[in-house]
Amino acid sequence: MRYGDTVRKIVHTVLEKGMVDEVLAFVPGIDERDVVPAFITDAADAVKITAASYQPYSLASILADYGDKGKKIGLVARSCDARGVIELAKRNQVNRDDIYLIGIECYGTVNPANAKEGEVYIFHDGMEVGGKKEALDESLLSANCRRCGYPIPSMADISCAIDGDGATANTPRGEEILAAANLKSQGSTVDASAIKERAARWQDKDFPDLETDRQERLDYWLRQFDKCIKCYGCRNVCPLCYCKDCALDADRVWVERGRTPPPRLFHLTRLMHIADSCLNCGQCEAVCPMEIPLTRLYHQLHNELRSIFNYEAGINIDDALPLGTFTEEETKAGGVELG
Amino acid sequence: MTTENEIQAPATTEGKVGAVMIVGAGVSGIQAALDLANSGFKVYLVDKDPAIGGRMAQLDKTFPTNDCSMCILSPKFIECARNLNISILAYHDVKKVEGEAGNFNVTLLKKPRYVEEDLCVGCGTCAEYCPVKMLDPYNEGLSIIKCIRVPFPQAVPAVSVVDAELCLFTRKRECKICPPVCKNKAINLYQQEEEVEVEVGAIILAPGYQPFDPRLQPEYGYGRMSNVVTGLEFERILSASGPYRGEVKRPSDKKTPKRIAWIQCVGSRDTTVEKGYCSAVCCMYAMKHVILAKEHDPELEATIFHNDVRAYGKGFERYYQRAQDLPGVRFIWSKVSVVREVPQTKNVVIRYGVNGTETRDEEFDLVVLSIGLTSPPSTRELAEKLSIDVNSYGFCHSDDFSPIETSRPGVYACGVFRAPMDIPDSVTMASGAAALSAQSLSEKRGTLTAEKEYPPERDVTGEPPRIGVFVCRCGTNIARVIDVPRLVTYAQGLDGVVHVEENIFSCSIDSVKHIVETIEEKGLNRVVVAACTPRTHEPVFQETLREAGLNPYLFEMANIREQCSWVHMRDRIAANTKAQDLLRMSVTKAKLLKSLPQLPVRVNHAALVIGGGVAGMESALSLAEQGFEVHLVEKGDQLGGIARRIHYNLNGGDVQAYLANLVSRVHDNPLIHVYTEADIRDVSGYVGNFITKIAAGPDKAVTEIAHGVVIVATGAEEFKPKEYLYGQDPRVLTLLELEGEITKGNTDITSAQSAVIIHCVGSRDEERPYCSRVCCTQSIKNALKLKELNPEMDIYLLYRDMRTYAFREDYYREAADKGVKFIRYDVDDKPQVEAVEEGGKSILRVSVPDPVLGQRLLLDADFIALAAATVAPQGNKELSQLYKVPLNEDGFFLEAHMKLRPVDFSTDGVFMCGLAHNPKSIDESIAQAQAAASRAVTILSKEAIPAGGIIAFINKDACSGCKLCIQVCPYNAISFDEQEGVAVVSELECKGCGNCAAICPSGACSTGGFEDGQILAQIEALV
Amino acid sequence: MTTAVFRPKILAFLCNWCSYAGADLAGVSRLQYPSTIRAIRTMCSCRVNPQFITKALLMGVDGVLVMGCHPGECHYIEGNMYTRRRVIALKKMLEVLGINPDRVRLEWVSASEGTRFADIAESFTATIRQLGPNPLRGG
Repeated sequence: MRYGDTVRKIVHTVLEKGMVDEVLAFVPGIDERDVVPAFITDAADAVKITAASYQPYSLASILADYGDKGKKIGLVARSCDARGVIELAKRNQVNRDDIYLIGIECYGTVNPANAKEGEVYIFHDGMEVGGKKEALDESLLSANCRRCGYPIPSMADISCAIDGDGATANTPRGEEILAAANLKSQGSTVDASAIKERAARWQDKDFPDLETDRQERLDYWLRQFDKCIKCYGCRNVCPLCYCKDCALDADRVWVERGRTPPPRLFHLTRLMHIADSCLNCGQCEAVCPMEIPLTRLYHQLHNELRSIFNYEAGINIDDALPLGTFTEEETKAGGVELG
Repeated sequence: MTTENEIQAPATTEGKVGAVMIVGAGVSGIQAALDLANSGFKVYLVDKDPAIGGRMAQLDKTFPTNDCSMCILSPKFIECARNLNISILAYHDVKKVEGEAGNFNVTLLKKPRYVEEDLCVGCGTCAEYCPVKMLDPYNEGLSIIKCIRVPFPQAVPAVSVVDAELCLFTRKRECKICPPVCKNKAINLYQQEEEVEVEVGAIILAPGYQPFDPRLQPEYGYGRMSNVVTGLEFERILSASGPYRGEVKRPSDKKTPKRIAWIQCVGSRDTTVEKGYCSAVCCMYAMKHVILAKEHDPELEATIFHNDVRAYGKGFERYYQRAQDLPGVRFIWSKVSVVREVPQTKNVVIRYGVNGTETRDEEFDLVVLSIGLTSPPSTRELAEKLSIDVNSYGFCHSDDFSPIETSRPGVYACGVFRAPMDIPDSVTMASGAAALSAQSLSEKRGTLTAEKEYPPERDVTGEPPRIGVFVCRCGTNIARVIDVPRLVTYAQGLDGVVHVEENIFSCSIDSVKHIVETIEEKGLNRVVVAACTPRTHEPVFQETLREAGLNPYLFEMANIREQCSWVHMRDRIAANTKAQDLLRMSVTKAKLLKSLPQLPVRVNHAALVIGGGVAGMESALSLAEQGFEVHLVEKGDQLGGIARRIHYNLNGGDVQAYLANLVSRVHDNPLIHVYTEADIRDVSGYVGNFITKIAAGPDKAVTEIAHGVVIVATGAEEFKPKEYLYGQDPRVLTLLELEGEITKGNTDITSAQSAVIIHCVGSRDEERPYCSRVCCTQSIKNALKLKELNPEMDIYLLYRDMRTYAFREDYYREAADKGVKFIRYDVDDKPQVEAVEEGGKSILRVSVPDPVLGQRLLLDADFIALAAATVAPQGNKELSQLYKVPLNEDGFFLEAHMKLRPVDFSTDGVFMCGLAHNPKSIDESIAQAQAAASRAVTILSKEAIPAGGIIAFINKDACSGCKLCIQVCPYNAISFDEQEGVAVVSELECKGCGNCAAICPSGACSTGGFEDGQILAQIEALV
Repeated sequence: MTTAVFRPKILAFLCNWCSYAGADLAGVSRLQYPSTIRAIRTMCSCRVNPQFITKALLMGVDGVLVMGCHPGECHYIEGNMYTRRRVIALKKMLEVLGINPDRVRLEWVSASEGTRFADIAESFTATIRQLGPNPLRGG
């Protein structure tokens, strides 16, 4: 049995039975470490889908940009993709009803540039490179993945184990898919708490303590921002940056034309636009030619806002964006703070 | 299409005058004036005081929302002042009225202000120089003011007035300090009283009330003890603009009181001072005082001594709960006496009853007398001059079936002059009075109103900015602190500025004319005025721009008075720097200003009225009698609603005769189309242009109705009780059922020996925490009816708080006088009812706790009537979704504003009346129905309504269709175009708050006059 | 040598219906407060895009006040409910970034609270004086 067989089987089924028109997933590119996104329409091609731990694009983003409106589309999604789809659905950029979220467990991804030779698979308790199982080398993982506490895509219609044939239906649609694929919903056998603990540990390590010296923090971030060459890469790959006409473009009022580094408002605008829902997918940071650790900033603010507004991004499509809503209790609270 | 002028005119049309005089410019008068002026009538708004606003202008907050009173009222002042069709005649008395309905000739006396209204700009310099101090009447004498002064900061007209009784010149020709200090030469101490004549077709009386003077009851110590204050004085004490700047202090030593007592019913419900009626508002304002005082000082101990808490209005019971739930708040049901003042501390000792048998003395730091509302002698005089009848208390005499009419045709009454009532009821009645006036003068609509003509608007798109800057000295108000010539020089150096000048008063008539000429001469395409606040003066200058052919939004103000010269008088250098900054910010924004279009949208002149009960029919008739086509939709098979089950009213009036007459008037009116057995299927459109699909008649034929407005009058139902053996024993009935049986002549009822009426059945409990308002009166009414038919009958009323507000109190007293027994019960220990066999006969036995004897009282009854709650119909929910209008937590419709827009929804063009709004009596429903009609006519009478100005707009090329703007719009004014995948703003529904612009990440959505780029430019200019 | 006196520059976003009116009332009542504040009027506090505040701070403004009607009193029904959340989020962003969030303050001021407006002007100026010049100033 190959890693990801369950996913391949399910994709095969949904295509064969016509439950979806196409499936977006990663397939190998020029070599095994080069994974590229592809829309698969032929069930026979399901076998190409790779489960290796590379994530060079946000599939949610690609789905919103290139997926045909009105078509039923399956998406082989890690948590960050599944959550991205849910966030984009809240913003009316994709129609959740048309999307079959075929989730795949993920214990972290590696940047192909850092990866060892051979396909890389990461499990909750170790990793496998070129068919050989070894202990997990956390330093290999992308920084954002180390901070990620969503190993199991329970917000997707189904979540599939990366090895073995475990699959869990999370929605009625998920049950429908599993039934069609002749699989039993069995619930994940993985204990996610270790991963959550890892996430907490790395968050603790990566996020500056807000009690400590502000000036140091500010200087650090200003230095980082001032490296920017305004390539717009972070914006272009961000699954939450869905605007077809961006306020940060040069012909608009917010950011002066022809200046690098751009005014710091460039970064702070992006930060405010996405922080309430940042998925910690890491794409911005991965693509940045100047290696600005953007995800770290976004993720830290997101964590803070999540606890203030009691908002967990990418889980429930009915949870309104925290800055676009308020609660009944709030109308009765007279102060300027909440809670 | 029918227009209002085509309806057959009555014979007396000739000579009618399309103008209305309103006497009294409190909130009632203001509301009536705005309604009439906005629907085609000339209005003379007369007030005896030098500024409009009445009593409401003195209030701190308003119950039950705790809205700041002045905040919600002062915009109405400005609306009145700006309305071309309202002449504000402040400081005028009515001298005589001749003529008859349709054509009155009124003589007014214009009292001397000693200040020329058209010259004074209200700058207040005169007051600074005036040597004579007086007690400020606005602050109920708790603070000092000068004898020449603007009556209060927000006063309209914002013109000074001299108190002639105190002024040294008017009294003894001594001082003449003020005339020369006025830069505008507005002070004329030789002014004389003048007579003014006006011709009007109708008169609305809204003279308001005078608070009861507690000196008439010396036993309360008022006037003798410094720490006994009136409710109105306490209102000023609470107010941030009051004598202690919003800190709660007591008069004797200006210390914060820790124990405050409120004494209710001072000058109310008391025949010894000829005030037998309930003043209707004091319970609520006392609760408001408690809640606000507790906000000021959470440690405060508040005690309210009352004789039943009358929280009968919408949202009141919850407010009562809120007050009760506060820690340190006691409501004590007891009569009290003020025993003495403690000499050292000036504390006040109050004696009250405990358990009905003993008394207790308690000391308080401050005592607030909840004084009642009275009709002053001046109002009686006014009534005499107009020859209209008043009741024994001096309030207007009126009939329950025509609650707003007076004894003289063409003269209408509203507000507290009609009866003690709160603000929303006053506003409702005022709108109703406007409707009746308009009905009587319908054919004269639009004959005396003016519409200003402007030159065609110049298109300035693409022109480089040519900004004109006008810097106002405001006499010395600005110039004393700001170096105006230097500011002028500074402005000349700013980019885009082509003309700068200074004015003594930029807003004076001369200056305004000069600005128009300058715009034309210099080819200005933007104007900045550095002067006072845009909140009062922006409209003046925008008007000026229009007169010069510029779009009014090409204007910006720099507030260098209220927010600069007046607040930094001691730091001139900083003030001058700030003035430059403010001006620079304004000029920078002005460069980017764009013309904002205002496009007229045509109005469909028909109305849809939903509900064929009293409220629906009355509003339909009012509309039809004003010449508008009405579609009246009733879900049942005949008209009449719940009133069909009511037979007589408290005064003995015949409800069924009234109802039959009403139904036939509706059927006979050619402009009213009645649809029965009808339901609403679908609704589309918005104010001015709705389309509603209904299915009507036994065959459910579908009709599509185009209409400009909607009035929701869906009524309410009587609650079916679940307790007290109701439904199990036929001798237990509801009040409506009882009334039916009495009318039928059921002798089991009328010849009974003993009857019990239990109050608050299904009301004021956990499931329905609201008061049903009418039941106390209904039960008194039926008790009196039973006593009339069978004086020997023993009748027991088991009640929690007897809520016979206003003149209903007289009937409560009458019932007691006639031997009806009243027993108060507590919600935690309700009466119990059982059917028992005794002596071979079945009797209903009611047991109720007797607090005095501490045991249960047993009452045997031949029948029991239950004062069952009034509940909202289930169907309201569906309707609320169809018309996008909200319901409150009790299922009744929720108005746009609890105080000032009681019959409007926040969705424009949709109104409500009757029981759909809240439980109420027939006379209140009628008044509210007429009010809804009045509000509707402010739309229906227009050919078109303007849309545009400061509203949101969406650049559809940049819109990603994320719908966040739709989600946050408080008015549902943005919809989604599925075809194009973009959001679309409805110009008529948008109010311009800018919430959508703030949340739109791409900046596709913005707000006219407050665009991102404009605000960013202001920010950049600041630094 | 004398050190230059720090004169804070404070931007205040005032909503047309309550807080701007409250500021006007402070003027009508001749309440004297520090000359540090320059106001930008918007129709509702909910018009205030958090980036306006960020922009002002990046431009070197030392403090930003946002004022609106008290909860439940918003002229636009519920605009201030959104303002509150947005300002809270923005302040958190400043904190994460290393800018003292006390440089931004949200306050509710009604049209009758001239005194309150003046008090806030006073106390916020004191806060900003204590925090010193905006570290972003001149950067």
